[in-house]
Amino acid sequence: MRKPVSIAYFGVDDPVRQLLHRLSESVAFSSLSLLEEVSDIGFAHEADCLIFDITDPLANRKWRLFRAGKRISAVIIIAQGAVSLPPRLQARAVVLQKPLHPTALAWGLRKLLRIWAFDGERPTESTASASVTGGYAHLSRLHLLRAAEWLHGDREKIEFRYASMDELSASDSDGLARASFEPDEYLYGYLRSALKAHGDASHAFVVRLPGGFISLVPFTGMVTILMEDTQLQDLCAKRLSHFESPPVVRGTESLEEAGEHLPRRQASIESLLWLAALRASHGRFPASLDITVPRRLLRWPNLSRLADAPYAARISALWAARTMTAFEIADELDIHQRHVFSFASAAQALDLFPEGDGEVERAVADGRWLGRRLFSGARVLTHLLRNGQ
Amino acid sequence: MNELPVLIVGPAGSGKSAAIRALCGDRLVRRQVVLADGDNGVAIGLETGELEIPAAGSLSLLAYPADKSRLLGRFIAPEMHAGVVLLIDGRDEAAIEELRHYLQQISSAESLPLAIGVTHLDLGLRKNLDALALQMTDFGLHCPLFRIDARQRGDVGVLLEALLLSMYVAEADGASVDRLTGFTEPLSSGFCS
Repeated sequence: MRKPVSIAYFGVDDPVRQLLHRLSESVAFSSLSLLEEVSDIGFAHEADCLIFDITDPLANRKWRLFRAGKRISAVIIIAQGAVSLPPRLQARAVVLQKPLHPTALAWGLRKLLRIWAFDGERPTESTASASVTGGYAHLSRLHLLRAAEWLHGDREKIEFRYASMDELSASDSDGLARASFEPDEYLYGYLRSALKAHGDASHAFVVRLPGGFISLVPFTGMVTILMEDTQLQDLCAKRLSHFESPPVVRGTESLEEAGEHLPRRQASIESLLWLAALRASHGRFPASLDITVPRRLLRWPNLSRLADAPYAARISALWAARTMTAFEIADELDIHQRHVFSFASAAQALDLFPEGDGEVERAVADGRWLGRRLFSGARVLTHLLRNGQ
Repeated sequence: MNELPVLIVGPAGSGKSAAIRALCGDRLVRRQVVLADGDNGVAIGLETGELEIPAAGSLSLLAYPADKSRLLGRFIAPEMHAGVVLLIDGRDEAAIEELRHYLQQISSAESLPLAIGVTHLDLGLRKNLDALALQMTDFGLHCPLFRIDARQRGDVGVLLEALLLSMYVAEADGASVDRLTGFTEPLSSGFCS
């Protein structure tokens, strides 16, 4: 069971008192336990956090006693005008000005809880500055990452064989050339070309490959794979020159002929392209994708139905929210560039990057804030209104 | 202990309770919150589940009832909730209308990170997912949109993982500062001397 966070308050007027109780009864602040105003500062020592309305003379006296003492505690001071804080309280005090808006009090409570939470850990400047201020949470960003990692659980990760290469700089043109590859030389590039050529057809088409077949149905977005899984994985990673150029066959008659001796399974075209691109990449990026250009994902990849590439969720979160280069993504997440390059290959295979040479992306990146809004309700409303909703 | 309240919203049958059960087991608790409505209060019944995460605190998952969706805009608040999961029934022909409806309802809390799960999608209905994705792009939304089976712990876990990572990025980008413009700095430090 969690121990509730106790908050003692002094001198607050009725509206603020009612608001405090209303907030403490809400689900989000259910971890709060309010201690009624008390006559002795000694009682306050039992509380985790304190609230003083120093416009009240009695509470002001208690505040001055507390300020002169040695106790370190998170505290809200409700005041009118400037408040002098001793050094020990400067990082632990929240000053709210009267008249007090309800939202400001809720915000102050959140901040108070956060300060209290960090006091129990390492109340360093760096930790405090990395704390969550969005939403109610008083989790640190580290906690968010831990929780995300835990939720990720034991999803089976793909083992990749990466090409041997050092970390690159955006100006190292030789290194960039070595780290790129031609998608058309790999199975996924071929499949993409075939889909472009046959994508409008309502019928299935079949690609005959060494050791099996892949039947694609663009209309439903599904593929039927008749092949040993290990063989498919190998084919995805090899250059096309390693086998004969795969012919495309209309209809699915050949699948019936292929018979019963081949394992058969269904998947989405999306998941096949994603996996095949990751396998082809080996930690490199497609030559057609200027990796030095800041970009932003058009949307998140459907990670619940795609192979689990290393750091895919973290890269998606960053790249869906901001316009950045692959180098910046790797720096920000403190991961090897090869993971970002592989992700970029797979994302391009699913058309998750905007088309173009990057000029638009550069323009957007110049106004960084434009790329930082995760969810613009105003934009949604504008759209809805425009459409007469 | 740290606690992170995540609101799960969506039409009836979209899998809200199933999603909580998938992560928290069958220990769902019903809570009632009274929302002020003039002189009267409106009771909102929430199904809640809690998930302890080692070394990170706990996730509180709160399923908001579909029949009170018109009041969602008044219920949801950035100071109360850390993020929103919207579940849409992919079988529903009105899925896009539902998406619009809920986005409109939660637009008052625009800074809250959002993740969308499309449930009940059979293989042949992927067009619905594509249509929803297009609609999202049209709205200018870049939040996670995953096809999930709300009964599967792994699927719900991936969706929540994406939501938490969105929070992480939003925090780094100072989304909350946008929302709190006007009193963040002055009240927290500007009046201290």
